[in-house]
Amino acid sequence: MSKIMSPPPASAKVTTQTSLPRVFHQAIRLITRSGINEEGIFRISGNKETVAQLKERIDRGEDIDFVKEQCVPFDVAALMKMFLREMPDPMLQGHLYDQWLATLTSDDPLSEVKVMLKKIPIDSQKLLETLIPFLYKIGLNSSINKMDFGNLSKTVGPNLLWKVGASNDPTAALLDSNKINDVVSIMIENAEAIWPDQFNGDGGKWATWNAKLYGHTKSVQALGIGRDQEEIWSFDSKGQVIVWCAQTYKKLRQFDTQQNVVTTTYSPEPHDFIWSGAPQTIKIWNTKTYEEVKELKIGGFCFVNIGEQVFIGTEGGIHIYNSTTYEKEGEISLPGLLVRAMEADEKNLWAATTHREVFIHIIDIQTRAVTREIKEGHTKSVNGFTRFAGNFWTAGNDHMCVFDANGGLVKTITHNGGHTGAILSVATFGNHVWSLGWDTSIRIWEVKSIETSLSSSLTDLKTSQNGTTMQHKMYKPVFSMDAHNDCVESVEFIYDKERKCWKAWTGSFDKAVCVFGISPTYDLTEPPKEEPKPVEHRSSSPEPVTTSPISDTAQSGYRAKAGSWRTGVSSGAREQMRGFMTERQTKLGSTENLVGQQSEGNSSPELPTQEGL
Amino acid sequence: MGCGNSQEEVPKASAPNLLEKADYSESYIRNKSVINRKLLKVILLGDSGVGKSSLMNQYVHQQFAAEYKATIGADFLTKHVMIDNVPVTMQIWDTAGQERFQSLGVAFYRGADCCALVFDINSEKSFDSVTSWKEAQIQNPHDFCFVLLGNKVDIENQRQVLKIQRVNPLMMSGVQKESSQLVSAKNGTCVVDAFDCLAATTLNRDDLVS
Repeated sequence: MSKIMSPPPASAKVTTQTSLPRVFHQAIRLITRSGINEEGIFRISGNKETVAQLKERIDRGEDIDFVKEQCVPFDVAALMKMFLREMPDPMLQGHLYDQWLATLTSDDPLSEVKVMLKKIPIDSQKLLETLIPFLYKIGLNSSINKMDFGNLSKTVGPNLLWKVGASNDPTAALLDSNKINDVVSIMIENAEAIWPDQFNGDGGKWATWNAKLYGHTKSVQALGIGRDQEEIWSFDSKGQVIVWCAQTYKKLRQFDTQQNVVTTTYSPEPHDFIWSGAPQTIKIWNTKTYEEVKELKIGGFCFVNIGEQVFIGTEGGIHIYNSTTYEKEGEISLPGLLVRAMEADEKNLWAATTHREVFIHIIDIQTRAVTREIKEGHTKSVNGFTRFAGNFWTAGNDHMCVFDANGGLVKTITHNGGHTGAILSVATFGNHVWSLGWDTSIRIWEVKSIETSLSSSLTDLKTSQNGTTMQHKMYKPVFSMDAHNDCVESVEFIYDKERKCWKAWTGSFDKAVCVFGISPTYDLTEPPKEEPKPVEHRSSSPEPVTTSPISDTAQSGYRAKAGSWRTGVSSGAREQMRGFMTERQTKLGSTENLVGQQSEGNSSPELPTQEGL
Repeated sequence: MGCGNSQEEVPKASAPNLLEKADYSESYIRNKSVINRKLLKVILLGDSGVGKSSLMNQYVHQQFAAEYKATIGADFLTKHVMIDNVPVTMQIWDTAGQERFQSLGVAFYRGADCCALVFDINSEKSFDSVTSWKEAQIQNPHDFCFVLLGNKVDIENQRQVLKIQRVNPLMMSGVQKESSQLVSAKNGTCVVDAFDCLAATTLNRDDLVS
């Protein structure tokens, strides 16, 4: 029998926080990204040669980035099983063999299993704490990967426990398989009860990946909150919508909207309606009956609710509809432009358009006139907005920016803890901003005020009133999540009434929907509002926007018109945009963030990532 | 006494007692089929997911379950057949294809006459694995008759389909080429034929040896 891969604690390379072997960390990351939808993951064997080669490299002490090397998930799963069964002593400890099997005949096997888990060495505990919940998360997708909890325990179980001595005879293990599988099955089925931290995050984590749900055949473009805040609707670019149960993650229903959805909005009680926007039409859905209530014959690329009205960003400007009668009540004309993203505060509506020089138009909600055009901050189109502490954060194809409520640039966020490539969306949740990137990651940002005299490139300097101390504002990514395998497009936050915690649902071009459990220690308080700088008196009134510098032709389609992922409508258009993106990034000299070959090199060293991912 | 049935299923043994049950059932069957009924113990080996359990069920019960289910440990079914006018009891052992069980011990192979190496013709990987499944048994004192069964011929146009030319020569020493076949556990193609053939080959071989 070949020799040990790298047993913890002796020779295994371990992460700093836990003793989880590096191989496991990397393997789980790869399988999370690209193996969960594979039929027979953890059952189908790997390519023996490839697995042997990987093992040899690991034995030499190499830290292999399976994601970067685009490894086959089956090979990596086989490597994980090999790692487990080549331990000199099984993970569940050979000398406890009989005790483990005895748990099955006790009155309360689950409690006994929990007791037993405390008896094994801390390194083994840590490994199981990651491995078993991971298997549970794979089992959630058994309708796609066919690996239900039973199949998972039958395939992984025999590698976790065997009788030591007897020259580790597989026959002996074979004969006791039933019982060993049952023990492992108890662990997998009850993973959430045994290791709650692996689902909702403990104090040290911001959010924890819980599930990756498959069912769409095209990119997931938009998410909406459905009935009684207990359901989530996910829309793909082919027009399919899947309604998921927010508690069980079960697919409740699926139907065709017959539109290539790009954006959605949700009208809260008493309406309970979801508006889905596509380039040609907008449809309004009753989330209680799942029926189409109304179709508006205009394209919808973004929505914002202001009072009783829904402002719809479309080609040529913004249309204003009554949110209950669906009657058109007004229009803000932006000739020649397509409105890609909007956000509003009490006074102004911010609109990002396809204008090549003016990235943001600020419109007075009362007068419906453009009061300011923002050219600074970005050099590429803006994909989304979010309001945070009275400021507007923008997600751009170049980077993120922070503007005050009057449109003054507060900060351009370009430091190396952020995304590589375009940011597709930003959202505010509690005291933090979430950003979704082309680089497949989701980042959580923190704004910290520090009074100190030190200055750094990461901070904004503001002289406080008395002029003696300097106030620094730090815009820092504090956490990164990496469970999708393609750009992340949308996020919705929903309260899980059963588990009494918040969940973040994300939709991605990898056709999957991910669920993250938000840590109980996450700061949900709203940040205090920051006062904007006094309005600068600009030398000229806004330039007339009628002379749009857009040079699109009919053939160039949405790519030229929109130039953004937000409007990544049909798959054809998306492919076009993808090509465009690649081209653009090549020009920028960045080759790291193309689909499927992302590297983690962009993360600053101190930026924690979700454990096991 | 029940010998009239052409098929007989031995109740599924619970895993921990499999060995004892096996011994028991061997002698049971021998005693029961008083005259001349030969027992052939056949072991199915191969990667997980190639269809070992499905082949066994198709042969014994003429059934195919679409359910995706990994095999726990090992299990066996028996079937009475006539091979060249000789009544034979086929005892077919199905094993879990997990890598963990690749090098099974002597106890498991005790009394086995034939080892059917199963692979999925749509998975080159599973064909390559056949060698390692076979080699893992080399240190075994038993002298098996090895045959190859290429399963899932019902699936066509898959990217990895092995060329028949490649499978046919079955470039492997010690494998009974003439009784190796391409089969489908799903629609039953050649399944009965393949098992009858491997039984005949094993019997002939045994006769030669003795």
